[in-house]
Amino acid sequence: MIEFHYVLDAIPQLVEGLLIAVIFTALALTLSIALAVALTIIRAANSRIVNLLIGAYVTYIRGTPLLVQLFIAYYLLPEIGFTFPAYIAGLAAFVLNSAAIMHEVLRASITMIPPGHFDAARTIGLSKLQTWRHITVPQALIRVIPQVINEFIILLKATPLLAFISVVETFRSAQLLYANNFRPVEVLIGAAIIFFVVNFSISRTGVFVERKLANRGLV
Amino acid sequence: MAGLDFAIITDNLSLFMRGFGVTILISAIAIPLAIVFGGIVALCRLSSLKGARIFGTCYVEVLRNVPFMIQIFLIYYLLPFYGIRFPAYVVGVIGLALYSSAYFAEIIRAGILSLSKGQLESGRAIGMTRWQAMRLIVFPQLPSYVIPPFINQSASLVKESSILSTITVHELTMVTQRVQLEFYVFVEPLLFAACLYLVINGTIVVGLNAVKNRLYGGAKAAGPGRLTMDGGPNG
Repeated sequence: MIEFHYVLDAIPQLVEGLLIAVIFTALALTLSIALAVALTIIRAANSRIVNLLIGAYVTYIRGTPLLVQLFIAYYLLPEIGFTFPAYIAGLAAFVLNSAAIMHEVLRASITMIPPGHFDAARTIGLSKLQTWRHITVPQALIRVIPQVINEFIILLKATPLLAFISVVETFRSAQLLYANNFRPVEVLIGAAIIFFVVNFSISRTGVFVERKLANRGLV
Repeated sequence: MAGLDFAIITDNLSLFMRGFGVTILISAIAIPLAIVFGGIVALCRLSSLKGARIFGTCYVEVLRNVPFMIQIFLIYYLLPFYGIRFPAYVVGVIGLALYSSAYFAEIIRAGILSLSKGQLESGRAIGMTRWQAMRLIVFPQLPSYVIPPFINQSASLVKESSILSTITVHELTMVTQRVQLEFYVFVEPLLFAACLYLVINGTIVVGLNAVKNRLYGGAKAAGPGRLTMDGGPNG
């Protein structure tokens, strides 16, 4: 039957794995937001071919499993002449995945900015790029904070997939542990507990932040 | 880059199609199951019984905050502990349905809550029981609220089903990996699998949108708030 001291024993090593997963997620999310902002600005230029490409990219990301995207990054990049450690391929897949989602979120958030702001920007003589920099992007980003927090949880929950391209994170740590002590159930319960604690705290923070923003009329 | 060679796909087409079929079958069973579980959990969370509310909340929070892969491995290893042995695909379908049901529950709950409270109260005021008010007033209005998020969630479920390859369910991703390892060709099978997933999810999006339009007469007339009369969302 289930013996709980195995759960406790497993936790320190699992927490180490989770720490790696959290750092990985934070890095991926930061890069993906930068990419999403760039995509949003490019898309606003209204070039037909570029927009078609971005649309195809978003459809690919939203229509296929992350596991498949991960494998494609892992196998495709070396084939076109890049070789690097597995976690870089993982990072690439995560960034591309999340950027597509964040791009959609940003586009929705920009429509929430009162149109008067753009008129005002033009009136005081801001260029297009200046408007993006000082008016649109800051306001769009502040409105999407709750979705960014949500996306952090989604990505963190996806990190166990990295185990299949040989990155040692929480799930791989768990597998290594139970390969030794033959207690998969206890070790996995340990992993479930630490994931729950971290994700639950983050999602509560998200609710709190959303309420703060709503008080200021921003969401 | 040594050019892509899609002969590997045509040579193994029947294998791919079997995996494709299994993925469709798994999703086709798991989606309705998840909606039913989700509906029950949503009703638990809205129940007047404290115990049911606590159960509903715990269910949703635990399933949503623990990665699906850990859940599925846990179920896969836990059941034999109690002498229950199911084939991997049964475990997979049940795990998938349970995981998604937490999300479906939240969609349904949000749908019920977004109908204005006044409607339920009016029902009670004209002498309906709480259940009658639910059944006759709330439920008929729900589809227009829940179908759009259901589309997303169903597409998500199809994507999550790829994770079942890790517990040896012979679905599309598993078949892809098998072809990769057997023929030592890595990229082409994956690209083909990605296309097949796009086909399934594209069908779900187009199909369910058609159902919604059929029910509510086109995209413009549909949507939350259409049926509210007393200061609901758009009222």
